[in-house]
Amino acid sequence: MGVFWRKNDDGGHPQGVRPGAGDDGALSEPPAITSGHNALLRVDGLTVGFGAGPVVKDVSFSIAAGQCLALVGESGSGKSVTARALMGLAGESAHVSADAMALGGRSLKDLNPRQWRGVRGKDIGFVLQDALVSLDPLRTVGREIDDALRLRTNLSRNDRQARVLELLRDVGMDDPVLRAGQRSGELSGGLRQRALIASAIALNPPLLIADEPTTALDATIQAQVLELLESLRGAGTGLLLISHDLAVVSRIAQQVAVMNGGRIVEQGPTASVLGDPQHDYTKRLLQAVPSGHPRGTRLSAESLHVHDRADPPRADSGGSDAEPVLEATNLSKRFPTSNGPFTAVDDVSFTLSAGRTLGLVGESGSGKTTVARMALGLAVPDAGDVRLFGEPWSGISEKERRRRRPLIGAVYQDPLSSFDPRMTVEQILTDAVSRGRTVRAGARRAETARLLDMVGLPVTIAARGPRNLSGGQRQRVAIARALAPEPRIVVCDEPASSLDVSIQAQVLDLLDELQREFGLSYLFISHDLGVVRHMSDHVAVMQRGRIVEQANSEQIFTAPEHPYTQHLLEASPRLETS
Amino acid sequence: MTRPAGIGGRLAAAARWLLAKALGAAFVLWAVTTLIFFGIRMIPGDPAEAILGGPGSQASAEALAQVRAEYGLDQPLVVQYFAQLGRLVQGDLGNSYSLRMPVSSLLGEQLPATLTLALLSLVLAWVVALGLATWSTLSGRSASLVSSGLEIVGAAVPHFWLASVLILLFSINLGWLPPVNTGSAEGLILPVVTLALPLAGFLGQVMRESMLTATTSPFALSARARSETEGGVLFRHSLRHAAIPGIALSGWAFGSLISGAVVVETIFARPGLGRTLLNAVTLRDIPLVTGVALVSALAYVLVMALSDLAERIADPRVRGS
Repeated sequence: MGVFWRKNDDGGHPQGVRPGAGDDGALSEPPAITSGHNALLRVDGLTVGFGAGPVVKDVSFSIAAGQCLALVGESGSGKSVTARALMGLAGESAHVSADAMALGGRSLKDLNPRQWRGVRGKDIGFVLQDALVSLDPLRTVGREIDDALRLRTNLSRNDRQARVLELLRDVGMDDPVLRAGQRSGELSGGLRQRALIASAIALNPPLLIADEPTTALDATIQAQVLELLESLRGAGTGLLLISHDLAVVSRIAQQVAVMNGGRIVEQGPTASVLGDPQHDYTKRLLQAVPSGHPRGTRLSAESLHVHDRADPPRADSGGSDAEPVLEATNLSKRFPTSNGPFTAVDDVSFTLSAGRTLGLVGESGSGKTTVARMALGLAVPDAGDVRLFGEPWSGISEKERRRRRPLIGAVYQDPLSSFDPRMTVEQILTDAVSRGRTVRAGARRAETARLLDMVGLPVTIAARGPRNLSGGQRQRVAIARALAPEPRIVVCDEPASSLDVSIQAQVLDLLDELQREFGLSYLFISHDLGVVRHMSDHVAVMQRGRIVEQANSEQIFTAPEHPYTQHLLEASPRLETS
Repeated sequence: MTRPAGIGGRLAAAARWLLAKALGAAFVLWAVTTLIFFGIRMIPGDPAEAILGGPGSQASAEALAQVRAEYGLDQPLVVQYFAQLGRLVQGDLGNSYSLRMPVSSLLGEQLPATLTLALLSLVLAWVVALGLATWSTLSGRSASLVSSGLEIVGAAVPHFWLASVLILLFSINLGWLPPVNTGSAEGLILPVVTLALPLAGFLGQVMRESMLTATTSPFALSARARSETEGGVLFRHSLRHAAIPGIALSGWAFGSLISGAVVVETIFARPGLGRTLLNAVTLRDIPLVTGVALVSALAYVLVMALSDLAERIADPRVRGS
C-alpha cells in the first residue's frame, strides 16, 4: 500500500506507489532522520507523570532546523503533554524527567521557572488549537502580539508597534493596522489563527510548536494556515506539529512519530510511516481515515457492534426509482442583522430518497445547518416548502407537525450540549420514546437495553450521566436517542466532527450499519469532504446559502463541475491510498 | 467578522442607548410611584389621623375633615393619583406629614449619609472579593477552599447578626470602635463592614470562579508560552476577566446595599434614607415614603446604567452585540 499526498483528485486512478514523501518541491523535503548532533531539538527518554503513573513514557525524537516532525495520535495519547513539557508548561503537578532534552545545544533539563521563561517565546514559539480561546478575548490582537516584544526586547513603543504590523503582514493579514486593533472575537477563524501564529513567532524562535493548529478550521482556511506554517518551515524554523489529522500530517511533515498510550510506537519519514506502516496502531489509524475508502467499507478495525447476523445488502444505489422521503423546493431563509437582512439559505432544492444518504457539504456559514433546521421543521422557511413523505411539512402548524415528528430524527455534532447533563442515559433514551407519557419501569429498562444494544453499547452505562461517557459513547447514545422513536429519516449534522479518527470511524460504521438494517434515509451534513464522500450516495455542495452543484457522490468527487467544488476538493488535504 | 462602525455610527448607537435607558428609567419611576400610591392605601388606618399625630391624638371629627380637605384626601382616589403624578413631574415631592417639612429637603439631608455608606461598602466589598479571588488563584487549592468557605459564610450571614457580633467584639469587648454613630469617621467603620462582608461573599464567588477560569484558559497558556510571568497573567488577563461579572453584579449590589442600609442605619443609630423610610412607614407618612422610594429607585436606575456602561467599557464583546 502506498500513501502519498496529492493536491488534486484525478478521477480515482491512482498514479502508483511512491516511496518518497512526494515529488512536489513545495510539499516535500529530502532530509532523512536527523542524527543527534545536528538536531535543533533533541529529546531522549522523556517521561511525564501526574501522580498516578506516567502519561508520557520514554519518548525520544529530534527535529532539525527547517524540518517538520508531526506527533500524531488520538486524544489522551500524550501528544499535548509532550509539547507542553518542552516548554516547562506541563503544570505544577507534573513530574518531568528525561535522559536528554536539548534545544540548539542548550539543555532544557531541570530549568528553574526563571530559566524556563527565558526559553518561552524566544527559543520556542507555541501555537494552540483554537485562537478564539487562545487569544484573550478582552484584548486586541495587537496587544497580544506586542506582549512578547514588551517582555523580551528593549524596543521602544513605536518600534514594537511597527514590528507588530510587520508580523501581521508576514502572516498574511490584509489590513494590519485594522487587524491590530481588533479582538479575537471580531476576526474570522483563519485570521485569528494567523494572529496567534504572529504572536508565537514575534521573537523569531528557531522552534515552533503547533498543537492542532488547523483543527477548528474549514478546508480552505486550513490550507492557508498550513501554507503559512510551511513557509515558516521553509525559512528555517523547526516545526513540531501535533495533530490527529493524518491528511494534514502527510501534507507538511517530513517526519512522523505515532503516539499511543504515551509511547511513540512508530516513527520515521512521513512517506514510509504512512505508506508502509509497521505497527498495528498506525495501520488502524490509517484504515480509519474515511477518504479513499469506498462507500460501505468498514473503517474501524474492531467492530463494537454486537449484532452477529450478516449485514443485509444495501439497496441498489444509482437507481432513480427510490421513493422520495424528504423533498425541499426553493427553500430560502433570511435572518435580520444590524447590517440588514442576511440570506442564510437561498433557493435551495433537493430530494432525499428512501434508504439513501444525501450529503450536504460546505464551509461554516454556508447555510448547511439552517437547511437542516428547516428539514427538521424547527425553522420556518421564508420561501419554498419542505414535504415529508409527499405531505406538507414546512407550512403546517406545529400541532400537526408534532404528530409526525417521530418520522424524522436528528444527531448533532456535540452531544454533550444536546443532552441534559442531569439526566442519565436511561432517562435520555426513555424521554425520547415516551414523549411525555409515563412508561412502566420494566418496559423502560427493556427499551433502554434494546436501544443501547442497537448502537453497540453495554447496558451498564444506562445509569451514567452524559459527562461520564467518552466522546464516542456519547455520540452512540445520541444516535440511539435519535432512533428511539423509530424514525425513517435522520438528519446528521456533523455527527463525527468532534471525534478522533478511529472513534469517528466507529460512529460512521455504525450509521452505515443502521442504515442498512432499518432502511434509514440520511441527510448527512459535514464540512469534511472525506467523510461525506464515504457516507453519501448523492452530494449537494453549498456556498453562501446556495447549492452550487448537486450530483451523485462519485461524480462530485471525481469530476466536479462547479469551480467552488473544485476549489474545495483542492483545498482539503487528503490521504490517498492505493 | 464585524465591520468597525464609524464615529457617526457609534454616536448614533450611544444616543439610542441613552434614550432607551432614559425611557426605562421613566417607566421604573412611574411604576414605583403607582405601586406605592395604591399599596400604602391598602394598609388599614386613616392618613388624616396620621397627619394629626396618629390614633393616639384623639383628633375631633372636624379637625379630621379639615385635614382631609386641606390635603385633598376627600377627593376620589384617581383624582388624588393624578394630582400626585402632576406634582411629581414638576419635581414637587410634597410635605412630610409627620415632620411638617418639604420631603425634598428631608431627603437632601439624609441622602448623602446613605450614599456614603453604600458606596464605601461597595468599594470594600470589591477589595475583599478581589483579594480573596487573587489569593486563591495564586496560592492554589487550599487557599481556594478557604476563600470559598469564607465567601459562603459571608454571603449567608444576615446584616443584623453580623452587626451585633461586630459591636460585641470591637465595641464592647475590645472597645476600639464606637457602637453607635458619633458623627466621626470611626463610626462609619462598623456599619460599612457590616454591609460589605455579605456582598463581598457574593461578589467573591463569581470573581474567583471567572478568575480561575481565566488563569487556566488557553489564552493564559498562550501568554505563558510568550514568557509572560504569573503576575503578568494575573494583571494583564485574569483580573479583567474576574472584574466583568463583578461589574455586572454591582448595579444589583448597590440596590441591595440601599435596602441593607435600612437595617444597618437603625442598628447603628445612623441618619440616612433607611432610617427615614422606617420611621415614615411606621407613621404612615405617605409623601415621605414615596419620596424615599423614588429617590432609591432613581439611584438604583442610575447605578444600573453606570454598571452597564462600565461593563461595555470593560468587555468589548458586550459592545459588539
